[in-house]
Amino acid sequence: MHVNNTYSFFKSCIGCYSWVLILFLTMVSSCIEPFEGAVNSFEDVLVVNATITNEIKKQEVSLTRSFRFEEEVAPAEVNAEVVIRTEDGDQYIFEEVSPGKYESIIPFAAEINKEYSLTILTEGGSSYESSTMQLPVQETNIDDLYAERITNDDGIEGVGIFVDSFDATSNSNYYRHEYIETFKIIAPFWSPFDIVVTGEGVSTFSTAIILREREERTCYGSAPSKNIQVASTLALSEDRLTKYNVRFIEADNYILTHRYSVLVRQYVQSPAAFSYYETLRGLSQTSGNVFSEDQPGFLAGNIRSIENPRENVAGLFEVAAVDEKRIFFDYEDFFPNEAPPPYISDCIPFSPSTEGGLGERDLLNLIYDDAVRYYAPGLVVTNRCGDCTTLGSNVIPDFWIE
Amino acid sequence: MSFRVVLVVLLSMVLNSSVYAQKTPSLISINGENKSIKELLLEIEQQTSYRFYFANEWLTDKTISTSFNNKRIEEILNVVFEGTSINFYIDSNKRIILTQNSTIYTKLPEGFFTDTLKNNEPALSVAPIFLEKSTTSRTARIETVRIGRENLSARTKEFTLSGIVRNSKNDTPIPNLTIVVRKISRGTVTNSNGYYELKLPTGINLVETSLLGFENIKKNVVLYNSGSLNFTVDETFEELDEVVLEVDSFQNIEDTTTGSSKISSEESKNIPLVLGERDVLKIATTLPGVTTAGEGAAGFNVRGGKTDQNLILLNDAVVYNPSHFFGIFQALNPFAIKDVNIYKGSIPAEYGGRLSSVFDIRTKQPSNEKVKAELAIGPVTSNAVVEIPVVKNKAGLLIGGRGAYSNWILRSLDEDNLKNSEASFYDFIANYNHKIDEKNNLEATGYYSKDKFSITSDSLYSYSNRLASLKWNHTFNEKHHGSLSLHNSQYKFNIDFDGSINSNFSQNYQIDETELKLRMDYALNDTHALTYGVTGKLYSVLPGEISPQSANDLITPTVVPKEKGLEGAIFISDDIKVNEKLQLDVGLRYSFFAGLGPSSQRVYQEGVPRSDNTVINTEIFDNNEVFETYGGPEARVSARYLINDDLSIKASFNNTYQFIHTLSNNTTVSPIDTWKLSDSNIEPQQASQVSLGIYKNININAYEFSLEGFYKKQQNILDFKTGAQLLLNENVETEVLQGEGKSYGVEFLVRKNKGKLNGWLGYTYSRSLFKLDSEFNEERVNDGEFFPSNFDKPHDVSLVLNYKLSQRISLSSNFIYQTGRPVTFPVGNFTFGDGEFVLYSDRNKFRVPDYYRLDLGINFEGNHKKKKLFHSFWSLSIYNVLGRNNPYSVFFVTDNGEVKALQSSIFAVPVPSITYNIKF
Repeated sequence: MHVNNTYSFFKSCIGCYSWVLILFLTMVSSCIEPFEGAVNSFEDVLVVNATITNEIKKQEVSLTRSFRFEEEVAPAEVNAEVVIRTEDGDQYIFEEVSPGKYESIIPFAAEINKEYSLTILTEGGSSYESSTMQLPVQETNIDDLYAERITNDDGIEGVGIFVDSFDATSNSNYYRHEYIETFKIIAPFWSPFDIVVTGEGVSTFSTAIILREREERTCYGSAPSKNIQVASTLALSEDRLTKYNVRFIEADNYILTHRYSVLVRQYVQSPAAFSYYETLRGLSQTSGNVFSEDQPGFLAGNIRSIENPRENVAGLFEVAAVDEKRIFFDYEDFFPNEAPPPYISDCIPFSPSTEGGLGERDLLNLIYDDAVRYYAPGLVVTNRCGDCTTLGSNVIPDFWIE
Repeated sequence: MSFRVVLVVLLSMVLNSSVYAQKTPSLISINGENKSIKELLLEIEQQTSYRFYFANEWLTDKTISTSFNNKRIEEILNVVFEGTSINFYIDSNKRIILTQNSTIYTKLPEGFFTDTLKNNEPALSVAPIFLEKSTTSRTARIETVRIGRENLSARTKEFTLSGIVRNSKNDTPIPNLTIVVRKISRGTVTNSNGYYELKLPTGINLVETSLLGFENIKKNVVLYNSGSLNFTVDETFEELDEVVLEVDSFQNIEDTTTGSSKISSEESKNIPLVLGERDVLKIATTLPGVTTAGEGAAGFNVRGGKTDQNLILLNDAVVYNPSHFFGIFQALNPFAIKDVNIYKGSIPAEYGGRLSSVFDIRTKQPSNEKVKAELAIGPVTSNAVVEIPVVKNKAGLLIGGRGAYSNWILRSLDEDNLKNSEASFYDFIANYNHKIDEKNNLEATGYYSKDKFSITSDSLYSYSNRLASLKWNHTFNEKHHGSLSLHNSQYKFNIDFDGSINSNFSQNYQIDETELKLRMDYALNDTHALTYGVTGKLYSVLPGEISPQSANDLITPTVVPKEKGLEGAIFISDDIKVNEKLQLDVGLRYSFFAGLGPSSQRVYQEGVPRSDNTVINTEIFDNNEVFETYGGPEARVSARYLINDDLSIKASFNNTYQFIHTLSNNTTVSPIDTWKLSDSNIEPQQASQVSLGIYKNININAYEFSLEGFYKKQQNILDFKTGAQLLLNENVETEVLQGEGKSYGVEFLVRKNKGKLNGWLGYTYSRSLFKLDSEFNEERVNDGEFFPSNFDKPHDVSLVLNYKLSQRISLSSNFIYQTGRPVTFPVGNFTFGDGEFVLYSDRNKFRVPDYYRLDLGINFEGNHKKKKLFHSFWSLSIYNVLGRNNPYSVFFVTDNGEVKALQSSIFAVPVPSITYNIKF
């Protein structure tokens, strides 16, 4: 073909494909779903969690074992000898206060420029020691802890809990935050009365309405943070945390309904401890990208077995500076004149059947099972709706301020 | 081929009939004046019950000037075909079979069934259908011509062949050209008019022409009578080049290299692929020894090597990331690609810098004769390539573009994470080829690809490849030619994060390399063919830069200082034909690397793990000051021994150096993996490999068998401490672990190249193991023992079949089975603080379930009419017909203190697609 007539020819063919009906159907499915394969191998390792702080208190060390997926609770490592030593020969001996929980017999605070190490001798005769750790900074301060009504990145409305902190010396750099939140719960279908079974026979039964014997209307629920929150200011121009979000509560979470309080503890960590936490966090999160997965593996902390260097030991001994702050707020503070969040579960009073013979009466069985509370004559509610102690403690916390 | 089939059919007809069965010869009267032969034959058919069998083109326009009266049919035909090359045969059923040149014998020659036919057949397109590991040998390409008409009564044993030899370019006669028939040692030289005359015996003569600067032509001349044969000879040396390449590199039996294969893009269109994209790199993974970590995993693992150990070249320039969209698509326009040569065993000495393999991808040579174009419309991508002659018969330009509209796919995904994400990509390619004169040729290539994607709503990733290459080919003389080329490649990526109050950032990475390479070929004599050259490459890496998005953001602008390095090599190899059976390819390459300043290099205390706290000194180097050098000799040796014509054994040894490494702590390739140059603290990777193979063809190359074993050792393989931070890490050596690798395996391949059903079956058993040992606990993985790599898949089976239903419809299928890849599984839970976490096993102690997948495809070609506007074809394919939910990875997340085991898979359901292609 000659160059000159190229373009017209080409154009005519562009035309050709415009009439082509493109028929396609594609269903691409990239999915993430529960893995059904069997993972048989279980490795029983010692797990050490020891954070010694600059607060004067009975310092704590927790010793547990790893556990199988189908199990719920970590077995405690009991009857171990736990000692923290300093380089200049000080020894702090720990005693077991509850299974796996060890407390120093005397209160002490970690001091700057001192090297601490942890040794453990288990009941089974294995001994472990940590590498030496130091307090990274003398002290740390939460400059401000506050709550704000925000809409998060996913477009969900709620309350954010924020921390401001600044270290003018730029020595802190590695931060970790924990919180414990406490919130007032008022059982929405509470009644001063309760129903008890006074007698049940084959053809007859009797119940009685009595005054409740304990506080079941107003309680205080509490929960610690479960996810690791670490932040480094190394990449920032100042050693400053500004409006650092430690917690986001969605607006429809029932814990906001009445009054809410949160205690935030801020740790300044050593680089090694920070890296352990950060890696642990990284290993327990999805990368958000199904196409590339971070290489997981056993994450060794700073504790090793003295007898068997190949034994894996999980956990960490760290020395950290800490500060804590607490705030309170009411739902109305951020959502004035707005409907409160729904209760944790739907509450509909109902009247269970009393028909049937011995052991067949629904109402009585529910009362025996402690599953319902009296609401009104002939009506009961699930106990979660009528008794707040199912969700929290009926004892007003010491720190609680109305 | 078809010629012989016809012959056999005719012969059997002959044998079934008795010779001259006509008892009463009928006489015919016919007026043949001013009729063409054809008209006359048709008239005979009308008058009589004789039926003629012939091809129209055999009959010339010659008219007859005779009338026949009561003649026997034989007499008439003898007159009619006087002076033509047509013979005829009349069978007992009054069928008259015309043949050109040949006479139909009524008897088979003696020994017909005992002697193998040694004659050279015309070369028909019997090339393998999609994967070309060429089966053509030197002789198979030879055209056969027939001269004169066979005359049974002729007793002369010699005839005269004469003719004129012309230059194909301008039709001028070529004087002084030698024409020889080696077998009988006879030859002549053309006179000043290009005329020659040569007396030759009857039968087959291999006639060869030869003249310096001209293509050597070989023709099988089947001489029945004296006649003329004119030659037109090409001047170009490139054609010669190509022939040499094919014969040297791809003849599976004769070639000396082990572990090499060639995949042609055009022929790969018959393999069903996901989302209707033709993809030579995907096909590469169906070959033994080449795997990927999984569906959607970018990068290749060749014979147990890591993904950063492959040198991927597009017209000699490096492509850093040859994939789009996490490896689901290749970043190369399939219409612009001619083929890819893969070297996974013995790597030619001219290539270096990567340990495991070379993927030498070539674009099509743009047509300098006429405009050609190809278009494809698929569900996700569309692409177009146009070839435009710029200077008729001298220069051509190829331009290709491709784009994806994959955003809608992402939105239709089941996965919430991906639903809100976006992904798009495009690439462009241009190739210009200019034949300056007979001895000089210039080739220029430009390429750009870009990907943009966001997986979470707050971050946008993009990456791009850019390359340019310029190559000048020059022929000094018949024996000596070479090329000088200049290439530049760039890869960069960018992350924009915009999801927080005051820490939004933009982060960049960029690597640039510029290479100058001189490669010479010198055909010393019949025994030695030398290739030698020198190459130098300058790297410049911007390892990372982060800057705040706005004034509010507290991000400190950080720039990890630029890295510079110079990589050079000299190489020489000699292809030695020791004798007919033994051929050696002995190559030596000396590779050299120099880290160049400005740079600050840390000196770490000996005997303790590297960390920020064990730095004892930091040395500062000025611009272009050499701060570290590495280098060493690399042997590239292979040998072939021909046991007989279709059986050979080959062995090879080679070792390689690699001075540039990817930093990645993902189990698979990620587009934001960075490349890092070796420096004072990161040593070059090294590998050495031995392979041994046996190659057998049966049934005249219809089936090819090969069995190859290899053992490879690697040193200074890069790995990282668990959870290492690699991005923007100025002192990445504190996170790096350098260890050993070893891999070994056996690869079996059987290919059927001919017939309606063709394809191949590959099976590989191989292992790939790494060892990361150190005296320090934190630098040790799996107690310093060998452990399986992420891509250790011992059993790997690929079956690719293509069945040609008709000229226009072909069915294809692709089946893959692989052992599940190793993964690190949790072996329990533990509580730490108030959270519950997963305790992981030793690295890669477990495996995901086995992988298998079946894809089916059907291609409908448009009609094969000669005169039509364009050629079109539809291809329909279904990827993963069985709907197998192949787990790509199994991972565990801690969500609100609870551990969940999840598996991810990329294409868990059958994925149909339709592509419409047009070509003109």
